[in-house]
Amino acid sequence: MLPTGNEYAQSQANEFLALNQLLLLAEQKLANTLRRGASLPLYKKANLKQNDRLILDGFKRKPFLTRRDLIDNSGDPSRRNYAGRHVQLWGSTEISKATPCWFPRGLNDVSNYLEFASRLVSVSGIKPRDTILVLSQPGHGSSNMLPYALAEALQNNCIAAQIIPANMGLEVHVRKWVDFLIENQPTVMIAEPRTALELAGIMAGMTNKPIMLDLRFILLYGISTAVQLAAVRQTYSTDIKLALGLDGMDIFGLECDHHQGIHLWLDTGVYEIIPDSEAAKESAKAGYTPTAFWLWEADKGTQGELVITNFNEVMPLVRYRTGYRVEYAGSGDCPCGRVHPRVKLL
Amino acid sequence: VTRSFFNRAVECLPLAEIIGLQRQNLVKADIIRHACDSALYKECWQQAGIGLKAISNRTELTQFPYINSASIRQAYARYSIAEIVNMENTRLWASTSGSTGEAKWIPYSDSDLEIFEQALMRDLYQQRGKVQAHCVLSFTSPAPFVGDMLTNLAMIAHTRLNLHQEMISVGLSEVESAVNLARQRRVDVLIAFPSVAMKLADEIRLHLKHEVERQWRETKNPKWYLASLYFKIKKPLVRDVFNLRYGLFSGESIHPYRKALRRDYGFEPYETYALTEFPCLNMDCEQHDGIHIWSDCCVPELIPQYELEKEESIPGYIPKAIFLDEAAASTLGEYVITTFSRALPLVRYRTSDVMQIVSTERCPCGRTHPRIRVLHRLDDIINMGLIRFSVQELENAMAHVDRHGVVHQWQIILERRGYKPSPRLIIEAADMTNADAMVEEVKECLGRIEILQKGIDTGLVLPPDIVLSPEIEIVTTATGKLRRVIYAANW
Repeated sequence: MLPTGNEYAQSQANEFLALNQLLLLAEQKLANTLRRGASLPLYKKANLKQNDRLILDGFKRKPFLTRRDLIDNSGDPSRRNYAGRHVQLWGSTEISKATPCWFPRGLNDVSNYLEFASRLVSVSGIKPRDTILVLSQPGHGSSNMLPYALAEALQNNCIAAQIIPANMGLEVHVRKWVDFLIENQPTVMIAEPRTALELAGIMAGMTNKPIMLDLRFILLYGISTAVQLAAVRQTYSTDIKLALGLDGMDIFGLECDHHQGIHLWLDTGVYEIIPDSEAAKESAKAGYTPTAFWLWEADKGTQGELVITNFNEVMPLVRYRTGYRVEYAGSGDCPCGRVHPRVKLL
Repeated sequence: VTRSFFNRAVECLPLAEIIGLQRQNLVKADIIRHACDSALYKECWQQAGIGLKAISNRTELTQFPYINSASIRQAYARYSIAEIVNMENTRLWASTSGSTGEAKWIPYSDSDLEIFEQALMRDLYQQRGKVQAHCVLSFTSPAPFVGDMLTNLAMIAHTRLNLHQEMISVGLSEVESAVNLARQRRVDVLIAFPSVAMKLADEIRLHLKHEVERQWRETKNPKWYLASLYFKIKKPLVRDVFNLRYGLFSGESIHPYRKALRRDYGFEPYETYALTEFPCLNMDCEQHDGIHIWSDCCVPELIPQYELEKEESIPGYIPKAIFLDEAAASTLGEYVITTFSRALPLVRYRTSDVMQIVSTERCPCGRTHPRIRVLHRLDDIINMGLIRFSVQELENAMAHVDRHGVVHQWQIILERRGYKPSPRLIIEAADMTNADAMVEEVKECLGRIEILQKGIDTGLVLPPDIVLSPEIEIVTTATGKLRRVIYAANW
């Protein structure tokens, strides 16, 4: 199931499909997602049907899914709560959260994740001789498997780069890495802002030697505030590429070298935006359900909350309100040639 | 049922043919040429007058000098990583815990990862023969420790082979939430450190007792009353809640825990052995009569005890090793390995692990790879399984005792109470003004050893018993060397 050479090629070809082809692909995948979602208690109220994909109005009458729904659902991880016959891997949200949630992934989800690691390599611009430090957070979110998935992707793509996996959970051990990281300076770091800043703090407290001088870029995911982003920029003084993902679940958006916004991959999900004007109405009027627009149909510059529907096998998210406030940055005009819609984090 | 990972053609070969396979792999890996480029070997090989660039059989290996953990540390201290490691062939790094202060970073190449994955699949499926979907609860140490790598390699291998294997992989800090999930998902396989599994058993036992009592108080349902009565007579056990079919244990010797694991979990525990330096997982089979060392994946040797004693008593003496498969049953000694890595081959690496040969004969399970039992460490590590630290750390902590007297001499005796490590620290004090206060201060200073404190806080280790003694009974090795760390008979 791990993508073969051809599937990697297909995945990379999907990066450069035209928008109408991508939408056709997304629609096919959406049909399967809705079929799987229809059997889940999580979507009982939504009354999902496969032909809801004949969207757009029908699909958009379905209720939004919120984080609260996911937390409530995670209390009962019995088989009936998940589509597909088998869960392959459980990931959790960060353990520092009061109630960590467990998210299941199916075999195809893990396989897609491995494929996505390959995309991460090509989009982010990892090169031969790179030393990639992958910092994961305490708990078992998607970041824990990332270094090993990347190793597999690098091997399959014949890129001679090396990976240093590291979890920030045990500070007593983190302090033992410092000399090694000074000696084997990473050229790429993949981290959340908090872990990146924590590491910098620990290192600064231990040595006056220059650290992370060779960093070409940081792939930053899990950003929650602009202040965090600014702090990472100031601390590391290097190029920062942003990735978008959900706590404990997979990354679904990556920024390319051109920094024109984060590409949201239409072969892994479909995306809507709830404009700020609609959110304002929701706050003002109890019971008001805001209207969302397909991201690629929104006017460039539209600001609002990002809503995703992903194509996961075991627990697909249908119209999940991410809580991310974004600005739509366009689809077809990125110099990298990819037309997957782009957003800027606000 | 889809396929089997039992590889009769490798696992059950006559020993002579395994050695043939080992030779092929040794020659194919061309490790001497790779090692020649590494600063880890250059100097010591030059000193030993080694001029070889390639070898054609393992006997030629015996002319190469040993290296050990200190050699790797010293190399990292003196040379750049690029001078030691073949960076072109390095894919992943893992680190040791640094029990002796410095963590060692070990590089793995793609071919190493392939070997580890093959051994993993051999082990994971050996007792079942055929692959079925299972639900595994795995307690692992986080990256950059090697446990994280092995768990994820297993997950990726299963996915690549289109095999369903449900995995709940958690760190030690997520026990409570994971246990809940594991119960609901009907986990049937456990992967853990033995001490962590027993701690888990203790916690589940307590939780069960409280839960039954709470249910009775709140519902007044007679079934809960009966259950609470039952638990007053009989200790609740993990097996009352989980229906685990088997457990794989690593990281420390299973020996002191085996009985308790059987009792509490109701399964037969399997023991594994691997090093961060070479995480090719070796495992005991259903006969539970020693761990099979996969001898096609490396060249294993043993420095017998009498050679180790000679080394201690004769300055400059270099002990002779024998190939593991040529050692007689019951031979005791230090484990030495030569690996086939392209990133950093280990040539005659002394592991400091003392092991005993169980047998080199064919096992009743059909496998022919030699079987061993891991006993203890040879170096200056105070090894209480998952909790380990160096003698130097204890020495440093004792040097801070100065308010009510000073520590003149100390000796630590590692015993067990039940299956739990119970250290007894014997102190010979000088200038002591108040005995009780001195004991308190020693305890306080022991708290400086973070890993020990963590072990005590989490209940993996019992708090050290501090004993003041006017004179410490000197214990020496056979050759008269002072022993400050003593493993008691019940260890």
